[in-house]
Amino acid sequence: MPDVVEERQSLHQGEGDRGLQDEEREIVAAAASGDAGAFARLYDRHLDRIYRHIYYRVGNQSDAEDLTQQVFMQAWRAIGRYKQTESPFLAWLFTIAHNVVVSFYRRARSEQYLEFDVADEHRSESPEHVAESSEQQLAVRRAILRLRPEQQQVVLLRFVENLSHGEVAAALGKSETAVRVMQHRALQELRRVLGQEGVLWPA
Amino acid sequence: MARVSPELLARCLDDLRSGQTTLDAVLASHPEVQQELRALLEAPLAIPRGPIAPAPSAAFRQRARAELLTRLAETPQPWWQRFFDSLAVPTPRFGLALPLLLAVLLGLGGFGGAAYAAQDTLPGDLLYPLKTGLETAQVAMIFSESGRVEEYLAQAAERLEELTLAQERGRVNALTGLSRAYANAALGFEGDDFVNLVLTFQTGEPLPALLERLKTVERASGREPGAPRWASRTLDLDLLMYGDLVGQFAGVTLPRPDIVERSYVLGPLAELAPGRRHPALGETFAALWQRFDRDSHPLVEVSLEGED
Repeated sequence: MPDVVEERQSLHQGEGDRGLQDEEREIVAAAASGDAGAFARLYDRHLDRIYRHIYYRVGNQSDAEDLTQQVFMQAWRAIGRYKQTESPFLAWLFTIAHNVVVSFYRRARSEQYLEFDVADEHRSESPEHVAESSEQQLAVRRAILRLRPEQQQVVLLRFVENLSHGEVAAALGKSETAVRVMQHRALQELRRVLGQEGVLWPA
Repeated sequence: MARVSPELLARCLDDLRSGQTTLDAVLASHPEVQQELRALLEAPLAIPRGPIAPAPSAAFRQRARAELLTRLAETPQPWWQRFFDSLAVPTPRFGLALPLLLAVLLGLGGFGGAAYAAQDTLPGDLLYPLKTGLETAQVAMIFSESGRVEEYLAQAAERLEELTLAQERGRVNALTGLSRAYANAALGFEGDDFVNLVLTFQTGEPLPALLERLKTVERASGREPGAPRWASRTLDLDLLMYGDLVGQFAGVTLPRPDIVERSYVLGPLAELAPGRRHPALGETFAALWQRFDRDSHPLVEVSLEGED
């Protein structure tokens, strides 16, 4: 029987980076005891991932910038409550980002997750983005943003951020079983919506 | 009719993600649900790989970092302030509002003369004159009936005052609980029995400052700074928990692992805060104490008959 080596390109970037995780743990501990410099290092590390994640969900640069700042300010205030044993720090940031985005849409009195400015895509794009924003990618994103917030979060963390079931469970505060059930429903719904968006043939 | 279960779907996704197999192979191995499985697996496969959105601009990166650092510096840093602020963050998993409960284990070394000598060496200026808090503490020590143990615990109570007073007057850290006292044979070295008790108090002090203060009080109680770790000492203060922090902080593991290993820690803790949950294990102290193997680690309440 062949060995099954699961390669995960996720939060931990493989098991070889245990030293990096320990290092991060120390930085988080320093930040939790009030060390602003340590927090700034966490910021430098995770700014890109969080910004891109938020940009994907709000679709324009200025909101993405505002909300990204909010995420890090909230993380700074709440870092005493982050539990090292439960999930990677980045997963915790994704949780805060999700809450920030959800309340952003709530504030904008937008129950629809379709309100992002598609035109802005083409105005603010950087060169690497040009290659990426095909029509299909925009349609997939529209489909994802039509899901209920919780389903959106599962789909984004699993298939866009590439987290494992366990990591998503930690980030959402659910059991892995619950995450698998949510994922199942979310993918049923996503399949249906992708059919409507014309990305896939209707199932 | 066979249906695709969430577990089967999760397994297939993991297999695909590992790169060890292909969609066709996965579908071929589940012919009974092939069609439904295909529909479900096509959805995530339609999500493009690679960067999902543009990176933040260099201008934003610089501006935002500077702004963040300014705001971090402005944010006052008593940890309880941040704790309360953080309650506004809707993070369900991390969002249990808990009292600012903190437990310190007091191991009071020895009933013998050495311990009392320590009382004399205690610098007077370490004893704060404020008495109201002390009275509260004494009320909590209802077991103190008579004799030297009472005297000894009274001295301990004074030290608790040092601990529970913040440097700024006007921000008094309240003692919120004091357990009964228990004896245990000295572990791992020859020496006197220890008296153990647990207290809880609220504090506005950041963790590093609090740890420093604990050390200062230990030193003032006659323990030589360079003494071997297991040598007999007169007072040992261990921080068990600090709010709900879990992890390594300033060289200290929180919550302290001893909590679930020592009857004389878990017992008093269960007495003081039965309904509170162990921050890492998630179980209440009452439940943990219920399960604890008390036969092999008996808990002996200190007799207070004034014996020598």
